[in-house]
Amino acid sequence: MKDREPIAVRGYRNGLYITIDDSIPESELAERIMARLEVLGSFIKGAGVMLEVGTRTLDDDALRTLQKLFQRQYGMTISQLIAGSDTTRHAAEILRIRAVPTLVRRGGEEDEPPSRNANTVTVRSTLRSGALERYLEGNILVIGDVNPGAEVIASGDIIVLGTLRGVVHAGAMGDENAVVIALNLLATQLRIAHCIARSPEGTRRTAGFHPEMALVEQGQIVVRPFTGASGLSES
Amino acid sequence: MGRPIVVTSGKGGVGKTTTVANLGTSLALMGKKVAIVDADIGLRNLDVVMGLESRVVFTSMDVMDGKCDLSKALIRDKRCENLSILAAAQNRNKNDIHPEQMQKLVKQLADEFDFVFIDCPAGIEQGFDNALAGAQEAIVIVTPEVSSIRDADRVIGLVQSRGIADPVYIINRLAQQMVERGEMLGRTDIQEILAIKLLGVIPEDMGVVGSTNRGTPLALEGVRPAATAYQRISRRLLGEEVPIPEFRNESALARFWKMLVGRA
Repeated sequence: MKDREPIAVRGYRNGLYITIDDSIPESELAERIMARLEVLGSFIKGAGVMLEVGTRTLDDDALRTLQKLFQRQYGMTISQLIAGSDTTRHAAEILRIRAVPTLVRRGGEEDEPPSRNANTVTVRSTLRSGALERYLEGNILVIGDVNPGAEVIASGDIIVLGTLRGVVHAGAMGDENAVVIALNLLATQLRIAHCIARSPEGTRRTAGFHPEMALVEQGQIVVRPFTGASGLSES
Repeated sequence: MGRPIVVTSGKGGVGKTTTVANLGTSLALMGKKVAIVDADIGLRNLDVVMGLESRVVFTSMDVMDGKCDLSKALIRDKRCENLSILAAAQNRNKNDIHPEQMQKLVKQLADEFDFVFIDCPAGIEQGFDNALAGAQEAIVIVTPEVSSIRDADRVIGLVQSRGIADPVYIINRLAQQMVERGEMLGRTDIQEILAIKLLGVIPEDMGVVGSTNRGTPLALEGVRPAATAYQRISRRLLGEEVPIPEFRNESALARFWKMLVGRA
C-alpha cells in the first residue's frame, strides 16, 4: 500500500479501522473523516472504530470532539487509538480510550488489507428479529435461518444454509464481486456494495429448499438459481 | 420446588394476562397449587381479569419493600382454593424494582407452590427483565399476525440469551376459517419462523372477552373451545401427551346439516 488515500477506511472484525495521513491538518480532521464515512453508508451504524492518527499531536479536547462526532453521526465509539505521539496517547487515556503506539495484529505481522475471502465467520444458530451480525473482514456463513428483522452485514460474501428472510448487506465496504447465497432466498432487503434490491411484492410459498444466488451485474442485483460456482467471478 | 414460568410476548394485547389467568385456573382445578403474579407494575390488570380487584390490599411491591409478609399479600381465589394471586402495585413503575428482588420473591413462591406464572408486561425494557428474573421456563404468546410473530421472534432470542434455553409458544386467537381462506397466517407459517416447540393453540373464541369483563376466567366456566384448549395445554404442562387438534372450525349447526345431507 504505497499511495494510500489520506483517510483510509478498512474493515476490522465487526468495526472499522481508519487511518489518517499526517498530511491532513488538524483543523480539517473532523470534516474530512465525516466526508469519508458518508460515502460508506448506513451499515457502519454502531460499529467500533480503531483510529490511527499517525504522529500528530492531539489534545483531549480535539479527541473529545472526534469522539462526539462519531457517536452523534453514526453511534460509533472509538475502541482503540493508534498514535505515535506520547501526548496524544496521554490525552486518550484521559478519555478512557485505549491507546497504543502501533497496532499489533493477531498474527503479529504488519497488516495488509485482507482479501475478500481471507476469513469467514460462522454463525451456528438462527438469527432472530433484532439480531445483528457484522463482519467487515471477510465472509459470514450462517448455519440456520435469518428471520425477518435480523440483519447480516459482511465485507465479503454471505452464505445462509437456511431460509433468508431478513436484511443482508454483502460487500459492504464496496466490493461488487460479493455474492449472497441462501437455500431459500426471501430477503426483505438485499444489498451488495452500493446496490439495493427489495424482495418482490407477494411472498413466494416454498416447500423445501431452492438455493439461489444474488450478485451484481452491470450495476444491478440479479438473483438466479444457484447451480454451482460457475458465474462467480474470480477474485 | 415448583415451576416458575414467565408468560411473555413482546407485543401488547395478544393475551398474556388471559393466558396466565386461564392456565393458572385450570391447573388449580386439576389439583395443583398455583400462584399467579402480575409483573406489570403500574399497569396492573391480572387482578381485574380474575375479578379479585376489590380484595387487593397489599401488592408484590409491599412484599419487596418489606412492608408485609408474602402470605399477607397473596389473595386466595375463593372459587378455586388452590389458586393464589399476587397483584402488582398500581401507583409505582417498573423501574422501582430490581431483577434481584423479583428473583427472591419468585423463589419464595416456588418453594410453596407447584406452579408460579409470571405475567410479563409488554415491551422489552426493565419490566421485561424483572419478569424474567426468577423464571426458569418461558411461554411466548403469539397471535397469527405478522407484527406479533416478529415481536415474538425477538423475545424468543432475548429469553434464550437470558438463560432459558427452550422457551415454548402458544398461538392465541387462531381463526381456522380465516386460515383456510388464506386471510390469516396458519400454524405452519408461524412454526417456520419461530421454530421452537408449540405448546398449544387457542382458537378464536368470542367467550373470552365476556369472561374477561366479568372477571371469571373461562377455565372456571367449562366447555367453551378456548377453555378446553387451556385445559389441554395444562395437561401438556403436566407432562401428558395431548395432541393439538386441527380446529376444523365448523359450527355445530354446519356439522348437523352435513350429517343430514350425508344421510339423504
